[in-house]
Amino acid sequence: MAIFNKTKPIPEQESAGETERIYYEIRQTLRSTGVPQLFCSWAGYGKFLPLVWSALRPNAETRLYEEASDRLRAEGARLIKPMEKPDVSARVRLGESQTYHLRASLDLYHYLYPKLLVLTSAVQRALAGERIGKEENRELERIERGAPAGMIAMELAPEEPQDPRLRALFEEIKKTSKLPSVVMEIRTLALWPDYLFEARKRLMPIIVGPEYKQAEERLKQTARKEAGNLPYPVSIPREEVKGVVPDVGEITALTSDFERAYARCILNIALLQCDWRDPDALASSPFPAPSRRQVVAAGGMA
Amino acid sequence: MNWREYQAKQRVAEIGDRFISYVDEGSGDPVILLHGMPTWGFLWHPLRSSLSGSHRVLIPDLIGYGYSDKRDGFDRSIAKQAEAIHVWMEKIGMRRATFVGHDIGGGVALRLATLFPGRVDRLCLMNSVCYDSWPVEAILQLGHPETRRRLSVRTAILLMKQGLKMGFTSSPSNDLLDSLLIPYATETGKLSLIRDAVAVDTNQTMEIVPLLQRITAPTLILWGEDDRLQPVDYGERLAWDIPGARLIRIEQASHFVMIDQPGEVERDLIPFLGGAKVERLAA
Repeated sequence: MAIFNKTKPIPEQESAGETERIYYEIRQTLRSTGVPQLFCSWAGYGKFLPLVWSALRPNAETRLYEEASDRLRAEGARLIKPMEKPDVSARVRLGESQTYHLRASLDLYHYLYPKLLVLTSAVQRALAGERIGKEENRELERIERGAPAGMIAMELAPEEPQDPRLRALFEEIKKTSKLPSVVMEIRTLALWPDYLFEARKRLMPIIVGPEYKQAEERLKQTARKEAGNLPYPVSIPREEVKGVVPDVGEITALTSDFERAYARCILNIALLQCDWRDPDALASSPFPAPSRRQVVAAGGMA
Repeated sequence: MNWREYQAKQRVAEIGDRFISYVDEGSGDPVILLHGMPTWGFLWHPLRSSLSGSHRVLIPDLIGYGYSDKRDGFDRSIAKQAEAIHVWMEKIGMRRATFVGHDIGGGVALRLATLFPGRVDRLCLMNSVCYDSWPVEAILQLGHPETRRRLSVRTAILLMKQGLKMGFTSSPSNDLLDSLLIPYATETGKLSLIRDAVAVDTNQTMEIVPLLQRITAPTLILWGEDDRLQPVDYGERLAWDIPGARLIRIEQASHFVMIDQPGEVERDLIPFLGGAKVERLAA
C-alpha cells in the first residue's frame, strides 16, 4: 500500500477499500479499460471521491449523458476541420502492430475525453454553487456497463520513465499543465517515444494558434452547457466539501485545470487521428453504447 | 536486432474480440514458433533469422502476452491459447504448419497436436510444459491477484529477471532480459502477466495424456538437460508416449535451450524441418 497523501493521486493498482470499489464502478459506468486520472486525483483528497462520485453516478449511467458527450466529440471534430493537420504518422516509422495499438489507444481517448469533460464541467459548476442538471423523475434509458469488446487496454508508460528524454518531457508537461500527473494520453503515447516527440513537435505550432485557442474555449463552453442540461441534479454542497477537504479552493483549482486539459486533449486526439480518419468520421463515437435494457432483454445482467 | 525493431515487424490479426500480434517472414513451408512464460515472440528472433531463408516463419504472441491483446477479463489458459491459434491460422489462411513450442508454447502445441491434429504437420517441443511438470512455484506466486498490489512494476520486473536467469546456463545480457520482459514493464503488462500466471492449469496437460499416443505428426523433442524448471525426465516421458518421437538432450543448456545453445538447436531442428526422418525409439 502506498503511504496516504491527501493530494497525491491514488493510482488504480494502489487503491483499496472504498476507493477500489468506486474505481470499479467508474470503469464500468464510463465504459473504460482504465480509471481516468481525474478520479485518481480526486481520490487523493480522501472522502471527496465518494462524495463527487455519488453526485455524478446517476447521470453517468444515462443515455442522455452519453449523447451529451457524443455532441461534444462531434463539436471537437468540427472545430479541428479548418486547422492544419499534424500528419505525424508519415514522419515516424511504425510497424503494423504498433500502428494498430496506437490507433486503438487514440480511439479509447477519443471516446473517453468528451465524457470526462462533461463530468468535470458539471463538478466545476457545482463547486461554484451553481444548480446543475434537471429534476428528472421518470425512469431514463441507461447504457450498458463495462468496457466495449473492441476497446484496447489503457496502457501507460510509468509516471517516472527510465528514458531521460521522456522524464524531462513529463516534468515539463507537469509544470505547464499544473496537473499532479501527466495526462493519460501522453503516457500512452510515450510507449512509442518517437511518435510522441514528433506529435508534440507538430502539434505545438497548431496549439499556439488563435483558431485552436478559440476551439478550446468553445469546447469548454459547450461542455458547461451540456453539464447544465444533465438529467439529474449534480449536488456537491460546499459545506459537505468543506467537511471532507481542508482546502476547497485547492480542489476547485485542480478541477479547473482538468477542465482546461480535457478540452485540449479532445482537440489533440482528434488532430492526431486525422492521419487515418476523415474529420467527419471523427464526429461519431468509436464505441456506440448499447442500451442496458436491450442487454437485459438478451439475457444479460441487469 | 533490438526489441523495438522486432516489434516494428509485427503484424496484427483480429480474432473475434481479441487480437494477435505476430511476425510473418520468409517463404516456404510454414513454421509457427510459440513462446512461453514470461516472454514473447522476441524470444525466437535469433532462430527466426536463420529459418526465414528457407521457411515461412510465423511467430505469434500468445493472447495476454507480448504485444497481443492484454486487456483484462479473458481466459489465458493453454486450452484457449490453442483455440486462438487455430482461429488465427484460419484468419491468415493457413491450413497446416510445423509447430515449435517452448515452455507454455509447448503445452499449446501439444494441445494442437492432440485436439486439432489436422493443423500440425510436424511438432518440435523444447523444454515444454507437459503432464504435471508445471506450474513452477514462482509462477504460482505471481498469479495471486494480490501480487498486483504487492509488487510495483519495477519490483515485478526485477523479480522476473532473477527468475529468468535461473533458466540459463549461459549468462544472458541485461539487455536480453530487459527485452524479454519489456511488454510487462507497465501496469497493464504486469497485470496481464499476473492473469497469464493464474491461468496455468496442470489439468490441461494431464487431460491430453491419453491422446499423446495418437499424435501422428513427426515429433522432435529438444531439451536443455540442465533445466531445473522443466526437468529432462519429462522430455523422456514425452518421447516414450508420442509415437516415433525422438528426444535429443542438449548439454550445457537449461530452460532457454535456444539461447544457451543456438547452434545445437539449429543443427537438430533445421534437418527436421526439411523432412529428415525421425527415428522411432525402441519402446
